Amino acid sequence: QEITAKFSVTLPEASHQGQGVAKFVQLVKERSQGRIEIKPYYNAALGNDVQVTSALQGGSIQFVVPQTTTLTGMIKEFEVLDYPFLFDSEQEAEAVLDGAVGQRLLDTLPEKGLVGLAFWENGFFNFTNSRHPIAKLEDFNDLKLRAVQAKISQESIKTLGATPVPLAVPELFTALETRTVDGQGTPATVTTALRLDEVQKYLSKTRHTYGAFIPLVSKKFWDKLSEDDRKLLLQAAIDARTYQRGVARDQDRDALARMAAKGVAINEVSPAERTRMREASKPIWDAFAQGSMVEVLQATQAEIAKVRK
Amino acid sequence: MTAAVFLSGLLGAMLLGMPIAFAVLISAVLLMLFLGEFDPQVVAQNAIGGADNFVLMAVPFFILAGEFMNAGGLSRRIVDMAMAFVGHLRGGLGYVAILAALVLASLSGSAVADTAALGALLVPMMREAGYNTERACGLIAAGGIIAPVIPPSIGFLLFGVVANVSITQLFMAGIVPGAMMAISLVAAWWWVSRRDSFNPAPRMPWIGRIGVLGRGVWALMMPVIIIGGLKMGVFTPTEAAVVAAFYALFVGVFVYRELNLKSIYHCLLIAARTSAVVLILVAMAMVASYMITIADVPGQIGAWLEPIADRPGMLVSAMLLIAFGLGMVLDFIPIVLVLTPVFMPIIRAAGVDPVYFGVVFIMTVAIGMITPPVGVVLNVIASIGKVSMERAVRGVLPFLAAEALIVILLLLFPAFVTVPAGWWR
Amino acid sequence: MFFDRMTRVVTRMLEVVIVVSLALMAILVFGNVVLRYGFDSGLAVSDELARLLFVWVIFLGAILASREHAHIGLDALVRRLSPFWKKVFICLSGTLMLGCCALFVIGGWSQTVINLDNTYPVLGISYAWLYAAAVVFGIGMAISIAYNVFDAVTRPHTPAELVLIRDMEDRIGEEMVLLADAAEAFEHNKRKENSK
Ligand code: NA
Ligand code: NA
Repeated sequence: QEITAKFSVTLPEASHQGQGVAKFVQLVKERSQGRIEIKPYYNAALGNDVQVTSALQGGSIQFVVPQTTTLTGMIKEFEVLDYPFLFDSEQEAEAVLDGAVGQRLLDTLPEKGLVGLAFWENGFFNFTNSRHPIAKLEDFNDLKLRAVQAKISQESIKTLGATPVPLAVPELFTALETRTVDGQGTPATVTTALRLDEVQKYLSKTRHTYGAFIPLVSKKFWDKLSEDDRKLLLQAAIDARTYQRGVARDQDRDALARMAAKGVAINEVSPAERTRMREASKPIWDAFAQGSMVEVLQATQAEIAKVRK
Repeated sequence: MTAAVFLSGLLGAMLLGMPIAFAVLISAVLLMLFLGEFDPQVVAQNAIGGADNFVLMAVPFFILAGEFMNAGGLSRRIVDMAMAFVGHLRGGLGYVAILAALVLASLSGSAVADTAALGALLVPMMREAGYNTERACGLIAAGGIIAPVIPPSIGFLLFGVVANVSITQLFMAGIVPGAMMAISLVAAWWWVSRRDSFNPAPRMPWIGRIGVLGRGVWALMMPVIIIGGLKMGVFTPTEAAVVAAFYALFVGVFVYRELNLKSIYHCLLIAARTSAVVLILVAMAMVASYMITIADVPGQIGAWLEPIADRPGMLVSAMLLIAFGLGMVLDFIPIVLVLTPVFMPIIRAAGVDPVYFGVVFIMTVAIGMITPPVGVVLNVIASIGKVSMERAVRGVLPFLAAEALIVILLLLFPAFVTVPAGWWR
Repeated sequence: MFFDRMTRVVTRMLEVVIVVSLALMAILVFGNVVLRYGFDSGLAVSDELARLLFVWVIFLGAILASREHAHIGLDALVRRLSPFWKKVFICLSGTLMLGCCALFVIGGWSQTVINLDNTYPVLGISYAWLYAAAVVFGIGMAISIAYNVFDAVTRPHTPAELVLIRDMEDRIGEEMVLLADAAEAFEHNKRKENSK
């Protein structure tokens, strides 16, 4: 009984996302003695995450690993993870994602035709800009910052005191180069991959958002698997998680070091200032947390509080 | 094997006489059936996903800009300008045709439209002045195909989207090779017309030239906006296209005063319909492209090309030969859409600069529009110049050879593309 | 007769919809450029809405083009056939194309239903609006193709007209009409300028 499947990957094979998928594919192959063959397609060769997620629901592609933000249009609860300044550290994120809250989020997926296996890591987002370091809340005041295609991104930039300018990724480099926009926020690995460090002077470790990847399986495919095979896939995704997070953190460190070597001024943001930024962003949390979101947010905060004390 | 299934499906469906958009789709469905992965959702999803692309929006906007400009009698103004500057030379109308083709190429992305516009104006003029009609037709056809090499270019747009290569870089890299095509035409025209005798037009005094330039400068501003805007990084290609359209609308309404609500509606309708015909083909090609990826057609073709895989020059030459061969019988856009997803993985694996490949590839496919037996641009000029297809082919041969030599030159010395492309980065 | 009039009305409606959509797209994209350079801001919905309209322009425009036999094709073989074989080829390719339309309706419908409660991040409307274009395209195109095939096979025609795709000559003819219009407008304007 041979099983074959397609795994759509947005980033290149060498990225932390690609490495995590390669690991997962290899673990599955070994543990099934070659019975389950998953073929990864890197560089978004099968389409972007929104399209591919829809293809998973339809059953024509079996695996994809988007950032959780992709799911917010479908399942509101995932938006909690995009709240600005929610997490202080990777450990807090792990506690929430690998614990009860993460499980609760994963449980919302099957009714949409998807099965979530685990949470992997894209990493913390930092603001870069071409004007001055961001060390305190007031430093946002005179900045025009790129917003991604999501309401919460625009609102949170506004609340911090900066001006949001919505831009698609292909327009980002030129907009920063011509100073139409002063800055942007992405994980360090993305900043360097998009060569934004060539047109940005300052990187401030605002760590304002934490991006989590979520390996998804088509439920149509999942339902056809035996109980043992499901366990095998689930365990492989969890084991690959440890490896992928390690790679992500290494690559994040490397990217920051390379930027520093190239002359980008990197500054820390003190815990006290980050707390001020979080307090300033709280209105966003309240505005976006409605209905069932309130409960999820409370559970998340409770989980984080356990780590923080 | 999958490559053979794909190609025979495509050719079979086309010979049945169905639109190429559907023939491409049929070949993708055949691949699905062959791989045992039949799923209608894959068709709908990839067609919609292929069309749902911000970059592709540049296509209708560039076409719209061209329509607005044309509705204002733009091509005649450009010919007037070229006449004023080079009309007095020996064989001057030939140089007028080349210069006008070059300017028009920087305003429009379509070889068919440019050839039709120039042919309608210049062939009667050249015939009256005693030029050999078939040679005049040949020159104008060869000049028309500069359009897809000089920005804006629908060919580069489609190649860039399918190959995932920067369109701004492709546009910039096309400028010098496009100018080289024009220079090769100048040389070829000088050569073929050196023994002809006709009465050159009188030299226009500088004051007259300035007057003509003043009337035409509004048209000349458009390439400045497009290329300048892209070079400075002010616009993305899509934005450059929409700015060009609004600029052309402004000029048509307030400067040339030839656009009214009715003609604006008409321009919008033509732009929407023309781009729908092109882009439905893109949407269907995206379904095929997806199946080409799944079936690993590039891997198979790459295996055939294995003996030359470590010699990039040979590899690119082999691919251009395939493109040239297909160019004899197929239209420009289908070739770009079918070959790009097959070639690009091999090109990247061989370490060839994708921008360089894009330029020589688009040039070769553009030349296909003036090769017999099927050449759209040849058809256009034959019907406009009222000459037979055979005479049009005879007339175009020296210019076809000149442009083919440029491609060979670029193959031997890639630096002609890569070095100027580097200046723009 | 009634059917002819109805298709004319539907065609005209399609025209108006794609013209208005293209104009809206242009305004949205241009507006964003102006806002960005002039006012340091942007219209967040611009990108998503323009792209949605764009998809509809392409798929509705393709139906329109089909009614006008304007799709690009290769008629080298079909042109050389006898009227009888031409009809056979038209029926055959028409059937295959109708099959393709069915794929669009079925596949598009599945995706539309799947995406019913999946919303655009900024626009806030369902992605079903996007995938519905595939369903409408499949249905519209099927009607148009069936009509074209019926037309070609049953109504009196010169053998040359028996093709589903637009002949190259016709396309050039259309281009020439446009150029003639432009030239006339130009001459008219010149006369106006001279008489001033
Ligand atoms: Na051009
Ligand atoms: Na040809």
